[in-house]
Amino acid sequence: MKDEFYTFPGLQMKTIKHPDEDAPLYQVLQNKTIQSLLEKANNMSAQFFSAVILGSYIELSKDTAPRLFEILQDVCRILNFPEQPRIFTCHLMEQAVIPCGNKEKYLVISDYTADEFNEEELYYLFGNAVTMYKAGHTDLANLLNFVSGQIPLPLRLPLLSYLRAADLTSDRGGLLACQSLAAAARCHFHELGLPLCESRKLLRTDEEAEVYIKDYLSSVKITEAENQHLFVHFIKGVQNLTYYEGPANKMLSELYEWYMDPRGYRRILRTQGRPRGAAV
Amino acid sequence: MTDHVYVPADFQHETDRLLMEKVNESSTLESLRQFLADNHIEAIYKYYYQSSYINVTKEMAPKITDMLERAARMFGLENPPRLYLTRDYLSGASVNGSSEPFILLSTDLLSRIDDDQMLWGVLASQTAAIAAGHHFMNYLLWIKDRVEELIPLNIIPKVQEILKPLTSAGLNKWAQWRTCSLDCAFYLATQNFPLAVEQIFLQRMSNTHKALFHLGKSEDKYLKQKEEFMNGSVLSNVSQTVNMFLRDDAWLPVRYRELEKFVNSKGGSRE
Repeated sequence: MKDEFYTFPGLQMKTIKHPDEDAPLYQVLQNKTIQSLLEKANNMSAQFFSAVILGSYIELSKDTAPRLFEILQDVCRILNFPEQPRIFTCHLMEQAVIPCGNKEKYLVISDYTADEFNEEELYYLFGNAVTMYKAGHTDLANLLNFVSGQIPLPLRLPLLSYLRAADLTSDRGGLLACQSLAAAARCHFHELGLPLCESRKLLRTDEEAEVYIKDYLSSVKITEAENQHLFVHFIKGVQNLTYYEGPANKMLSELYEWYMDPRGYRRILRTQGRPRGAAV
Repeated sequence: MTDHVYVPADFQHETDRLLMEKVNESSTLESLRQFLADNHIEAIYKYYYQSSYINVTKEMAPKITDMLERAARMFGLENPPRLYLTRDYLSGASVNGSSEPFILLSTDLLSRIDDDQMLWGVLASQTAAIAAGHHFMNYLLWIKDRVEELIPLNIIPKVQEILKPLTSAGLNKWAQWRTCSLDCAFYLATQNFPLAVEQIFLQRMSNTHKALFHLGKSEDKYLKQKEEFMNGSVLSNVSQTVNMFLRDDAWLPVRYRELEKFVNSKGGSRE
């Protein structure tokens, strides 16, 4: 663990929440069908835990995975989240870390992630997941995971829109937990296809990460400018409406903007951060 | 140890054995086997594998082929099965084929095996699966999937919707219990309970974590979770049963429990 870390003892979600979360969330939560489905989804999530998670995943503990356990404990402290989730592992590739559960909170980490990601990167991934709990994102994610077919289409679209914005918020939480743009960027570039062994050479410091991200985002803009076809715009619109997650480059771009914005990441670090060990 | 020849009844789980017996008793099975051979279906199937995967030869890996020969003797096969390697992150080990059964092993699984006894146990248990006839069931499943892709059932989605879970539920049940048979065969081949338990978790978590679990020993860190799963509420038991029908891999705590039962029934030592 790094001594130069800050913790955020009074951190409230509203200070890091992405502004795009509010409108669709309001629309979704106002609806009575959604309210009853939420309860159903949370019950199903509990049953899923009792069967699938306990039956086919493996719980890790302080004894069996001391490094992961300590990092998660520290992330919960940094982000001021009192309920440390249980950690389970399994053999999957699609997602690095999945925050699940409602009353009983548990994270699922792939064996690959546990082996391949270093300490800083795990701080980012766990920070991201813990933010999802803290902000209540997992409750609405349960809706899509467990009762997706029962959600009427007019409510599905704002729900998806909310979850895409929620991802941007949880990226911010991840950055606050690891306090390293380089580590956050390495995780994003890993999603985009750049192996960690390569990105660790290219993005060793935050300064290197700033330059690399800037170059990368410029190249994306150039490609977009070269493809100004009506059909491309149409597909982009469909993606924006119907996808569970936003495009990986957009997510990186949003995080980078928040990092660079004087009223974003740096302000929270300055106004709410307490050096580790300092009295609160 | 290698002098003893085991028959399927020595290691096959009751449910696996009953299901396999039902399949083998079917009078149409032999004619189906002949039909598939006469109509080159088996040839297509063999081509499919042989063109996509690497066959492990004696020149390439003599240690492995020696183990296969020894396993064939142990489980009463006339010839050692062929072994093919496949590069697949999610798959592990399986047996396939009809008249010439073979073992398919993923390089991901192979990369996790760090000692010879584990490798021997994995190869021996797959050889045992061939002795029990699992390869032919897998072959039939492969054909079933291909047929489902081709026949007009696909254009009647409602019928497919009803039929598929029904056929899958029975097959899933067999696939789950057959894994328990393989765990028992692994134990027979290695006579090592902790290693047999470790084998259950081989492709489930990183080796670094696995080493700290002390699986199969008195201080086994997984036992707590096993108990939590086994002693679940009525609702969680219902959920476990429903989920069992939807998946083809057995619950880990159930595999562990069945292995323990088997080892106790053989008067074997846990340590």
